[in-house]
This record gives sequence, structure tokens and C-alpha cells, in this order.
Amino acid sequence: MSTPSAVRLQRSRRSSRPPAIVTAAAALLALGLAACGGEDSGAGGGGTYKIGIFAPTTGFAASDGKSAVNSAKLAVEKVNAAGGVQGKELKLVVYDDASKPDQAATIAQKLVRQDNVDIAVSGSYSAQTRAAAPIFARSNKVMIAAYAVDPEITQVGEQIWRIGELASVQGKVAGKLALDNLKGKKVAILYVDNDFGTGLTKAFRDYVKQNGGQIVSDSKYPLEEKDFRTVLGGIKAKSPDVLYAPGYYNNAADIANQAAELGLKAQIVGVEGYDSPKLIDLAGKNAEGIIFTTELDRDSSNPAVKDFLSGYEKKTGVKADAVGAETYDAVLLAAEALKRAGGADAKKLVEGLKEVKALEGSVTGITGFSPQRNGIREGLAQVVKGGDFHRYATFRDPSLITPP
Amino acid sequence: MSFLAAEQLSVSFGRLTALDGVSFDVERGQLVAVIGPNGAGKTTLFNAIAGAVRPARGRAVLDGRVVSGRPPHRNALAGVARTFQVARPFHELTVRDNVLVGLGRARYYRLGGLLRRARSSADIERAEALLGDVGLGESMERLAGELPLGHLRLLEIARALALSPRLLMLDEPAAGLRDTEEAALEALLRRLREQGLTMLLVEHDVEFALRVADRAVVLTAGRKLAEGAPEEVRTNPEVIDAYLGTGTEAGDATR
Amino acid sequence: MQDALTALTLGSTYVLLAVGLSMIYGILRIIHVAHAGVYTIGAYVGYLAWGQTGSVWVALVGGMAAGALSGWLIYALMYRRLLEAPRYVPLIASIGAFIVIQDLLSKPWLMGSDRLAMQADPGLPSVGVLGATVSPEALYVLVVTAALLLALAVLFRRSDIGLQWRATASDRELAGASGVSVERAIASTFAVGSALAGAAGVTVAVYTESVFAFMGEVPSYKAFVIVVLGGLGAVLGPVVAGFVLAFAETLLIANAGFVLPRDAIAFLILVIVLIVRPQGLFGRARA
Repeated sequence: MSTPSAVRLQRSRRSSRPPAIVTAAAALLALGLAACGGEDSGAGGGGTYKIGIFAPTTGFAASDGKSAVNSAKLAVEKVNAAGGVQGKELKLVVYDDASKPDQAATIAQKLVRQDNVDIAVSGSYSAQTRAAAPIFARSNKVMIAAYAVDPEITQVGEQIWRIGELASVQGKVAGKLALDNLKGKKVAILYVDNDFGTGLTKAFRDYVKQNGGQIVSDSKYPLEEKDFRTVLGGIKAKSPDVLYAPGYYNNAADIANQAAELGLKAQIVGVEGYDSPKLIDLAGKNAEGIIFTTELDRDSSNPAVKDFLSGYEKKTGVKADAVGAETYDAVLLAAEALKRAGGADAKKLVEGLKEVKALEGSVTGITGFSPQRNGIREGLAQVVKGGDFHRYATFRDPSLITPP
Repeated sequence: MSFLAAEQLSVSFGRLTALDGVSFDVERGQLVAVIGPNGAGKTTLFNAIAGAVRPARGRAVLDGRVVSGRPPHRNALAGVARTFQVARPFHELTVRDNVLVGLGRARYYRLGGLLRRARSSADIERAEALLGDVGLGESMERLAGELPLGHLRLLEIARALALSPRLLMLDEPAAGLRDTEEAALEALLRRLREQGLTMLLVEHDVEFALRVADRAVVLTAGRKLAEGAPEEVRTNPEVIDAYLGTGTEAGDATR
Repeated sequence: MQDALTALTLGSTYVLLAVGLSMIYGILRIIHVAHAGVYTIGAYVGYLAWGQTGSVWVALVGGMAAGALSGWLIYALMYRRLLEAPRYVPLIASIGAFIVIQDLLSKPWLMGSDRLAMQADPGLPSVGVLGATVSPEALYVLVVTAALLLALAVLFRRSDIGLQWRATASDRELAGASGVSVERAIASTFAVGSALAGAAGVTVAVYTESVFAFMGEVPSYKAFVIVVLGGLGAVLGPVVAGFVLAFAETLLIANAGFVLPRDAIAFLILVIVLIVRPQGLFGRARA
């Protein structure tokens, strides 16, 4: 049991840079504690199941973290209102990781040792999720990542599952969107220099090259950058039809505002990081017409989605976003796993998860999971129109949308 | 009542007593030299009168008003001006601006005066006249930090005069000057005295000091050793014994 | 040409912040990290004033007033009590004050931790220069910077208070002995330098169309790079250094893309300059 997962752990350690040291140390510590602790971790107390969640509710990613936590609460309320899981109520244990991997690792240990949760959800970014995943896998707890994109997260062990769309899928979908739907010939790329941007761009670039598109400009920018005028000026000189710009809504707003300032005409294609009402808030009319790949369809006729959209706005006073939708689904999946397992036994939870096809009530449209435990769904592009997000296109081709 | 009275002034730095019960009087319009060997407490005496150090005991009274123990900028406004042993201009300011600083003082404490133009033509005329008086008329646009030492000494005096002082304390104005410069300084001091300015002069060069002064106070090891007209001091056996015999050589050696 | 205009605008925002910092360093010899907090306060008050009136000019006045007041308060409540302490004491206090300001501003009942949109219309035209365009926002930055720097130059060279600042910065004790109200000179340096920081905050807010509780983080050290480059305590120095840095950044990014983060460029230049000219680009070596 310990040998294969140790190998997996090493693999992830090699790929994940500085936090890996922390991760490894935390994992070892967890191992040591497990060895001398040894408390039976059956189902939670009495008539409840405890779901642990960590998310960045403070720091630079606070708006994503809050969206994740609020959506998780919404999902818990929904499940409990329908009678809970086989009569047991769900209870959420929430921690703030402040976007710090070492904090996420500490929280993972707390959730396992101290709070003794039945199942865990990551409402955080890749680095934090990557730091926490091995600890849960080691402690034989199931963890469901909501929107972290790093492919290696689920490779840590069979206990780790993911709702969100992998970068490799989303980048391909964007490539199809750029070349076929938008009829782009000349394509420029400007991506945020981190796992998220690099992963998306790799998939997009490969797709465009293989399908006859011409990449006229290909550059990256640091996450904190706010002044894109100089690079956008260079891109404008190449007069591309499409500008693929993976990044977050902050970057997207700056890019949209400054592209408008410079008179750059290219169609901006974004990614799920754009999926926040803050984009429209920050870029105003300059956001109009931006198209991006994401997981939450505002124009869906599915009652579950409509329910989520209106329920979220009612609960928080702001509009829902993709991060929230994915975290909502992660909690639903956790409830589904508990239901199928009839308890919190990790082995049974994993068995149950393997049988999930279309997740009932899913707002991101989960239709099943891949062998590497990644959620499968239709590809989706939304467009900003009239100060709101609307459906632009969906993608059903299995060769595009099936994750590894 | 004399114009300036030092009354039992004592200053200590920790356990070291730099000035020990020094008393003397200066009449209005007099130039009084303070002489004595190194470490006698001459500069400390100036600091105590200007308010830069607080005396442990005693006080200094200028025209009926206690000046010791008051903040130096208050004393400056009340007409106590001084130069420093190590020439100390505003290095980054022009020679003219160095003098203008002092000329503006009457306005600095009025609320409405803050945004007033510093270069009122009256101020500039006065600054240029003062600089002309001390012989720096040619250097007014230069940065003070670039002046040679002799000119710095003169600038120090011009800057002090800008305060329209009632008492001017000169700390070794002749140190480091060439003979021609020293002659010019001597002439300047005589002119100022003729204009009725009251001055205290600390000077290493005893001959120079006794030549220009009306009276002299001799300090040694923080105490007053003697006081009187230059001739009296020069011939006082105690002074010769304690100081003049070797002190002049020491003074010459620093030149 | 477009790049040159971008650099000029970017440099303007650097300069407004750095000049005040340099003035304060010049007069107290303290490393006033909390200056970047003042900048954020100015931006936030400017944002609020703009929200109330829709005018970027009211925003500017509000931001400058808030900057002046908060800068003066930092001096009166903190530095004034630390003047005789070793220099690391005010530095640590300053870092502490900066953190407190940021944390306070990021409270949900103030700015929160999200960027707040400020899509202000300066009411200025878009100007074409040699085939390039100056956007209304950029024009606002340029006009405000030019006007404030000119006013500052006049204040410095022509006014009583400017003379007192220069005298006090040169030799605080001697200034006192020359009749300068040193206390007032220092307090007004803080007020004016901080008003410029407030103006920097407002112009950056208009130019980036947003304000942010942590917007001062990068400027907190970048302004220092500029001040050191310009020769610590000088006033003309940081003006030139700010523009030099902005042009260097823009030139590098235009030709090589973001090969390294923007702020790394600043430090790289700093290291090079310090090796070649330890007193900064314009500082005079003084014994």
C-alpha cells in the first residue's frame, strides 16, 4: 500500500517546485502522526457527515475563495433541505488558506487529525490543492478538487478527484473556438506565466498548429503585471484576428481596457479565469464581446443551474461564477459519494465515485469521470453581451472534451 | 546691568564638567574675546549661551532676558547669532540663498507668510549688500559647498548677520585663513564693532584675538582664569603660566 | 512613438510618488515605507470623491488632501517621537504603519481585498502625436504630473517655505539657528510630499481604471529604487530617474516581452547604477 503511493508522491514532488518541500515535510509529518495516533476514523459524530473545505478567503484570491465557500454552503443547504444524505445532515468545516501552499498543508492535517472530517473539498488554486492532496491520500481520505487545474493533483492517489476542466481540455476547446467558430486565421497568444496559463496555452497552441492556424505572436506576462500597452502595441502591429489571452479577470480587465485604448481590433478569447462578474465591473463596456471558455452556462435551461444562479445571487447579493459552480458540484459529488458508500469508509467512497455517471443536480454538467478521476462535460464558451455572460457555443466532440 | 551677563554657567557631559561656574559681563557694543587652551570650554560656553546645550547651573542673560536653556531657533529670532568652529554652511544652497534663509525669519512663523516669495527684491538687495560687505559679492550664485575655506568663514558671518543680531558669537573665524584673508576678517570685525554690534569671539590665535578685542576672558579647564583689557591679560603672570607660554605655539601649530 | 508615450505616462506616475518620498528622506533621513500607504489612501479617497461627483478633478483634490492629512498624521503621531532614535527604529515603525494601513484598507467595510472599478472619464480629448495616440486617461496623468511638478519647482525655488525645506534638509540644526521653524518645515514637507503621493494614487487609479487595497505594495519598494537612483534626498534626481526607469522598462518589454517581471528590471538597473555610481545618478558624493 505504501510503496506505490510513495512513488506517486515523488513524482508530484518533482513537478511542483518550492511548495514541494513543504508538501513532502507535511506528508511525512502526517505519516508520523498517523503512525502514533491511530484513532478510528469512522463516520462523523451522530447524525452528521463532516465535509472539510479550504479556500483563500483572504489575500489576493479572496474573491474566488469567498465564491467557493458561499457556493459550498449553498450546496450543503440544498442537500440538507432535501433530507440530507440518508437522513444524516451535512456539516461544513471551513478553513482559509490565504493562497498559501504551506497553510493548505497544515489545514489538510487539521481536517484529518483534529476535525476528523469524512470527506474533503478543495476550493483553492493548484498550488494549495497540490500541497494538500498527498496528505489526504496518505490519510486515506477522499478529497475532491473543485477548480484547481494542475493535471498531477489527481495522480497522487485514487482518493483524489476533480470537478474542474483540465487545461488540456479547455485549451483545445479554445483552439476549436478560435479557428472554426470565429474563423480566425492569424492568432496571437498572450498568457499569464504560471501553471494555469502555461497549461492552457500549450493545449491551445498545439491545436492551432495542427489545424492550420497561424500564430503571429506568442508571449507571456507575470501575474502581477498591470500595464500591457507595450506588448499589446506589438500585437496590434501583427493585426491578428484572435487574441488568446489565458489569465484571470484582473489581467483580462487590464488587457481589455488597454486593447480598447490602443484600438486593437482582434477578438479576445479568454478562459475560465475570466468567469467573474468582476471582469464586467472592471472593464465595463470594454468587456463587451469577449468570449471565454468556462463551465457555467448562464443561459442553461437546466433547472439545477437556474436554481444555483438565483440561489447564489439571493444568498450573497452578487452573481455566481464558475469557481462557485465547480465548488458547488464538488460538494454535491461528496454527498453523492457518501450516499453511494452508505458511510464514510474511504474504500467504499472511492468505489461509489467510480460509478458516478451524470451527477444529479450538477451545475457544470458533469456526465462522468475519466480514468484519472477528472470530470467530463461538454465544452462551453460564454460571451459578454449587454453587461452579462451568455452562451456563445458548446462543444460535444469527444476527442476535444474527454480528459485523461 | 550689563548687556550680556554669564552668571555661574556650568555645563556637564556625564561626569565631565566642561564649564564650571563661569561668570562675566559684556557691555553693549563691545567685542569680547574668549581665549584659552584646547578643551577649556570655549565652544561649550557659546553653546550654552545660544541654547544648544542646557546648563546644569547658572544662566546667561541678554538684555534682561534669559537666553540659556531656550531652543536655539527661539534665540536666533531674539537676535543671538553664531558661527561654527567647523565652517558649516547649507552646502546644497547657493551663497545668496544661505543668507536669504536668515532674512526670511520674520515671516516664517506667520501663517500667511509661508507661501510668500522668498526672493522679494528687498530681501535680495539686503542679502547682496551683506555679501558685498563681507567680500563675497563675486560668489553669490555658487553653491556654498564649493567655496574655499576662507570664503566659507566669511559666508558664515554674512549668514549670521542676516539675522540682524544683537549678539554675534564667532567661533574661531580666523582658523585656517591665509594672511590676506585674516586681514580682511580683521577689518570686517572692526567695521562691525564701529556699527555698534556686540560680539563674542572665540579664537585660537591669541594675537589676533587680543588685537581686535576690547576685553578678553581667559578660560582654562572650564573655569575662568582671568578677565580684563587685552594688555592686562597679556601681562597677567597666571595667564602666561597656564596658557600663553605654550598656547600660542599650539595656536600657531594649527595654522 | 506609442511606446515613448506609454513610458512617459508610466514615468509620470513613478515620479509623483518618488518625489515626495525623496523630499521626506531629504529632510528627516528616514526610509518612509508608509509613503506607499499614503498613496493608497489618496487613491481610495480619490475613488470615493469620484464616485460622489464623477469628476476626476475633484478626485485629485480629495486624494491630495487625504494624502497630505494622512502623511502629516504619520509624522506627528509617529516619526516626531522617534527623531532621536537610531534610524532603524523609524524604519521598522514605518513598515508597521504601512502594513496597518493596507490591512485596514482591505477590510470589507473599506476597500475590501478586491480591485474596485473606477472607469472615470477625465473629460479630456484623445490627442494624436506623430501617429500615436494619447488616451484621455494618459493625458490626465501627463497634465496633472506636469502641473504639480511645475508648482513644486516654484514652491522649492521661489517661496519662503521652499527655502526653509532646502535649508532644513541641508542642516537641520543650522536651519534652526538661522531662524527657520524646523518643526513647521518638516511637517509641511510631509504634507506636501504626501499630497503628491495622494495625487500619484489618484492618477494611477484613473490610468489603470481601478483602485486596490494592495496597490501600494509594488510602489512601496519601487519608489525607493527611484529615489536611490536619483541620489537620496535630491528632488530633481528622482524626476529624471523615474522617467529613465519607465523608458528602460518599456524599451525592454517592447523588444523582448516580459522576459522578467517589470519590478525586477528596476532592481537590475539599481544594482548596475550602484556599482557604477554609488551616489546615484544625480547624488553628489559628500564626505
